Amino acid sequence: MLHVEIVTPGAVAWKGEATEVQVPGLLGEMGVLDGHAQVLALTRTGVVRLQLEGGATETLIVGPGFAELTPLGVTMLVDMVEPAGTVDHATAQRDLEAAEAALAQAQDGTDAWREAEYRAELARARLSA
Amino acid sequence: MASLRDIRRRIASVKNTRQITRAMKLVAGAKLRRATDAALAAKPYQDTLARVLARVAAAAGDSVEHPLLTAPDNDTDVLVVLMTSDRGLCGGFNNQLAKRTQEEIDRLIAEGRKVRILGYGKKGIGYFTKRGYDVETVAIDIHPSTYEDLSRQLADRLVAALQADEFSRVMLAYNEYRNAMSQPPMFQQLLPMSSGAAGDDEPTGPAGEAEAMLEKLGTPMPSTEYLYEPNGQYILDRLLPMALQGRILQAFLETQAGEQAARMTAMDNATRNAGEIIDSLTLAYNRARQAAITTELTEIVSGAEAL
Repeated sequence: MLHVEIVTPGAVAWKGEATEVQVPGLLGEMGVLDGHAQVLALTRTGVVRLQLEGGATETLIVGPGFAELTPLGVTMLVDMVEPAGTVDHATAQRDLEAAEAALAQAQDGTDAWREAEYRAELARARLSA
Repeated sequence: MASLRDIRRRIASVKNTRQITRAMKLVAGAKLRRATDAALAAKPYQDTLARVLARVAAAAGDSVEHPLLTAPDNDTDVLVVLMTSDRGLCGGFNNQLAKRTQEEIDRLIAEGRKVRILGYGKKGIGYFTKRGYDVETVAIDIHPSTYEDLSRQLADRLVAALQADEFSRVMLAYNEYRNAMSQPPMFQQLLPMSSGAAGDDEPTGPAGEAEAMLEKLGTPMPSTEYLYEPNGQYILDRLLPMALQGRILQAFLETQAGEQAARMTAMDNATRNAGEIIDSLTLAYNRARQAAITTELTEIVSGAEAL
């Protein structure tokens, strides 16, 4: 059993037990099971999938942040968390197109560019959830 | 002696004041609850961040190098971030902090440093502007919903200024919120951060439990050695600005909670004082009324006798 805590600056967004957790690491997806090595990893905007006891699953959209993996659990510190399905498919698709259009306009490395990229990543995560 | 009508008028006016102070106390109480809730909600994030940061810093040891941890090539300029409230009627809340901060600033100036104040909140800005200090108004009329944006902006600005060697250190002046009765003024170093200042509390949460359990089994924790992904330096680069921002946000939240708590106490006292004044005025009114009646009676009786 893994003890999972997903924390945002405003609140503990999700807390509970899970048998398996998938974390969107900066370098790729990470699957975490009981007895995982101690890892401190940066995470990107993406999807966290939790396999709960009894076979249920939980899917969450998270903003960027980092995850602390220990043999007994996972603690994630992220910008934002929302349950999958909060934003419907069509809206997410529109967001993605708008963000990509803005991305094409903005200059690399500017604030507007970073903002647009973040929105695009968020929309992609929502679509893939 | 004041006439009956004068006393009546004064009683009415003090009653009005009492109503206002009582309402202000209730409003401050409601805002205080919201502010302490917000401060509490922010705590798990800050605690986890501090714990992880302390571990990363400890694991990295003396080899840790980061611009936010090292003193810049500048030993004259000092920035003071001053957080006060926008409104008064909250007892000594702003004044205490301003006086304490002024002492510290005067000491720095006496040491030959140049001090610039970044002001948040009207009261503190007014205090130091009036006394001729170098004050920049960063934000006034601050609403709690903007705390996160403000702390992000300030953190970004400070990091950029640090890298440009624009100051030797940054101090943070704010009222720490301990409880509803105590909000002592604080003057603490914000930058450069010392790696120890991140807090060396006992680890809690999953990692803490893991440690405790392994200790019980008699196996030492596989030290606190982490695998880093991508790597330690990269993570530290991201963690430190987050920690800085978190520290600023915490100060905003505590200022808000402290202001409301101080106002509640002040308004409670004011309400009680108004009640006392009303009591003594009512006594004077009754006495004056009785005196008037007695005089009238005497006049009637002596008038009747004269007939």
